[in-house]
Amino acid sequence: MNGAALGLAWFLSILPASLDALTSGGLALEGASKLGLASLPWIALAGIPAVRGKGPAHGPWPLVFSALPPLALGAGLDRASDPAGTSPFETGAGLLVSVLLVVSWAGVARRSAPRSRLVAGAFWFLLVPGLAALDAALEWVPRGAGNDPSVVAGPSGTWIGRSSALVLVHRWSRDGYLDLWSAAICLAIAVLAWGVVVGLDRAAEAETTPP
Amino acid sequence: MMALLLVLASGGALAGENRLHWVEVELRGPLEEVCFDCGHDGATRLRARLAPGEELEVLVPLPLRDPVVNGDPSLRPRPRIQVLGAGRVILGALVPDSAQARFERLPPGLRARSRPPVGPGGAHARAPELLLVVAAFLLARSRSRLFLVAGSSLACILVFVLASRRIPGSAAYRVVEIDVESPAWFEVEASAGTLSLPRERLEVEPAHATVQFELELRAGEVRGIARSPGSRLYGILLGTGAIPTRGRNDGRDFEGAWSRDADGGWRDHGAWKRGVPLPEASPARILPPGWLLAGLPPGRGVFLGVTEDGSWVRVTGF
Repeated sequence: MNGAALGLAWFLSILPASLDALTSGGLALEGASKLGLASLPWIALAGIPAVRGKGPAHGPWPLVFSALPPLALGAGLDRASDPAGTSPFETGAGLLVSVLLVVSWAGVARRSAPRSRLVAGAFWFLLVPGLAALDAALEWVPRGAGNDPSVVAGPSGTWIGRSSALVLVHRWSRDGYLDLWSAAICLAIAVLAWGVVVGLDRAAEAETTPP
Repeated sequence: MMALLLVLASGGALAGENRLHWVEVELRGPLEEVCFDCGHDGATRLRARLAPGEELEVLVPLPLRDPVVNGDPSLRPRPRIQVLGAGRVILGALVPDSAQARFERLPPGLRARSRPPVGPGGAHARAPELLLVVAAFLLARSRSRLFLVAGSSLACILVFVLASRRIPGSAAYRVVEIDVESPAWFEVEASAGTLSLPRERLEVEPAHATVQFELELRAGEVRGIARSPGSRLYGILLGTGAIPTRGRNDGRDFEGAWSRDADGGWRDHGAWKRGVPLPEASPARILPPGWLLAGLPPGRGVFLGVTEDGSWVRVTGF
């Protein structure tokens, strides 16, 4: 994740809480998860394929420590908004899922070998915005121009919606609770993508290293 | 049956049991605070600073679900009393609930109107935690590992602690429920978690929720709040007097006014000032919120008005 994307993600992640504070609740975010809202830009932008030479060279820590304060702000506001409904376990699990998804997709993006960068870009494109776009299309297309809510959408409510980190965080933000099964699936996909590109990176290194 | 189904479908709440029961209490100073512990039902905490020798008789509300002991109205409820101070507290009789009797004389359809669908308000960030987030972002640019890890971690913990202690606002609704065939009406103020007291009646959802009354004695009267985190509270005041009719608005100024004819069609009258007849109407393109339309009796005229402060007035038989 380069500096511009990191700055943009940070700005977007504190924007809802800041605007809500400035307008004294004018955004009407009651019932929404502010931790989910803060996570959304990080998860959307963390995996954007890095251009060679533009990525941070000193590991994931600046990214983690840039993302954590806005996420902590969201988690704190969620706890304050619904002290009886949100358990500390749910808040902690939400925070952990957000950080792991961000670190995993940032790890996928931070590749050095040309082939693994290409594969990482394809993974990110297909599994993050691609799955979310497919979920949205399958949700809306069957309803047609009449926007008839009685028409049942396709398989988006099942495995596609459960596999997309963006859909997961969008629903979490909107409904106020995190679906832990979907979170586990999204984490597994991110870790699998990470494992594949790390493997490709190592293979490329082994090919270029003289015996 | 249809009305009931509509109410259930709308998510609106029906009238529940009263949780506001008044008892006579005699206080003798010196006193700082008295707590009436009603077990799982909740407690009333009354701050009453009485000087040594000072005596006072007051009416104190208790959040009891069932104020009648063993089915005998003559028996007193037995809350456990804790006194802060060297004085004495003598619990007297339960005050006959005249408000409950007046409420029960209202038409059943009026009493059973759906209550406003309140939810918890959101907590908002304040300047300290937002500034800390900015500071932590700048720290994260640091090349020093110590600054990066220690500073950012401390900032995160502080941000979380500050944000989690923000008190959520509460989306409160107020609606006056009127039926033209009844001389009495009532006003419901609905809020999530906390509600100001005194009221004549207090309904709580869920019904089994524990309720705390936090009260202060001022000039011989008790005032304060009812608190029940995670619950919906409906405070009710009963009234009689002028109501809006088609010929003349004897109520309040309305910023918006809608009427429903017996045939079911809604009409938008725009603003309706006090003292004038109902303005001409056009078919309503934008309707009032759904919880106000839910459960209304079919075949009867209905009026809905909203005042400048956001309070609603709902009239049936209009």
